[in-house]
Amino acid sequence: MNSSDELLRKTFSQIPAPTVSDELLDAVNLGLRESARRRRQLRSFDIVLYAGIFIGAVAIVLFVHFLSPDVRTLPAIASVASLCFIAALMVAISKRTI
Amino acid sequence: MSTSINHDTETVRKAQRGDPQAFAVLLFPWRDKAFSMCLRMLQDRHDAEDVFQDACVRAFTGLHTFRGDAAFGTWFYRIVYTTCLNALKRRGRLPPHEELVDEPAVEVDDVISQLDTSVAVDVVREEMAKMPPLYAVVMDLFYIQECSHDDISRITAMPIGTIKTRLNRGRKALRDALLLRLPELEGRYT
Repeated sequence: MNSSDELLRKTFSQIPAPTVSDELLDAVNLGLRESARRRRQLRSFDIVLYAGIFIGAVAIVLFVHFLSPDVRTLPAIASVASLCFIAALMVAISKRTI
Repeated sequence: MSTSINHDTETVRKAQRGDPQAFAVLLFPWRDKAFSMCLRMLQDRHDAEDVFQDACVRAFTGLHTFRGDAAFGTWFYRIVYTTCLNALKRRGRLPPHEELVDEPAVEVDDVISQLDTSVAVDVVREEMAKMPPLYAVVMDLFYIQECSHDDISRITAMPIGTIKTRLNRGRKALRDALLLRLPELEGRYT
């Protein structure tokens, strides 16, 4: 750094620095708390969502199996249900706002 | 440079788990300087307050992306900078792309050293308030926050050459303003 830069830094250091006001700080803290609350809500919502998708997939398998109680079709139905479950899970993850 | 202060890993972890108080502790050493950056770029206190608040919440929600390989300050300034840029874009105040070419280096020490300190401070403050946002932010980071060229590059994603050119042009603007204020010096130095 040359003498010009040093002199400029010295000059800049004498300009009163702006500070974050107490009101702004309160607003920021409020925003952070609100964000943390929303995050907790979303986390609970996610757990319910994933559980719902899983139960739904199992219900589909059982429902289709009872309609056609052929043991040989069960793996195919389970595969389709698993794929649906994975697809729904991926959609759910991509829709997350946090 | 100030952004080299080590962050407390435990506080970072707590904040990453969603503790707003831990995040406030992390933010404390940087908040005034980050707010100064907002003011420099947006040149309006009300807008700067809105953007600063927005940037803090964005940093808090995005804290899981902070891996700790850079200083927290650098990471936070980057978020503040991009939030300011987005705000400027939304308001249509972002200047169009400009061609930056190598220019002869401009120094100001010869002028400043002959001025009364309070006059120099006044001129520099007034000129910084008028400077285009992308120049003002580079000047702020280099001269006020004492960031290195590399840190400024990490924060703004500008190449080092662009940063040097903008600093040079910023210095030229300051020099011209100082000379305008003191016309008796103009003939000797222009």
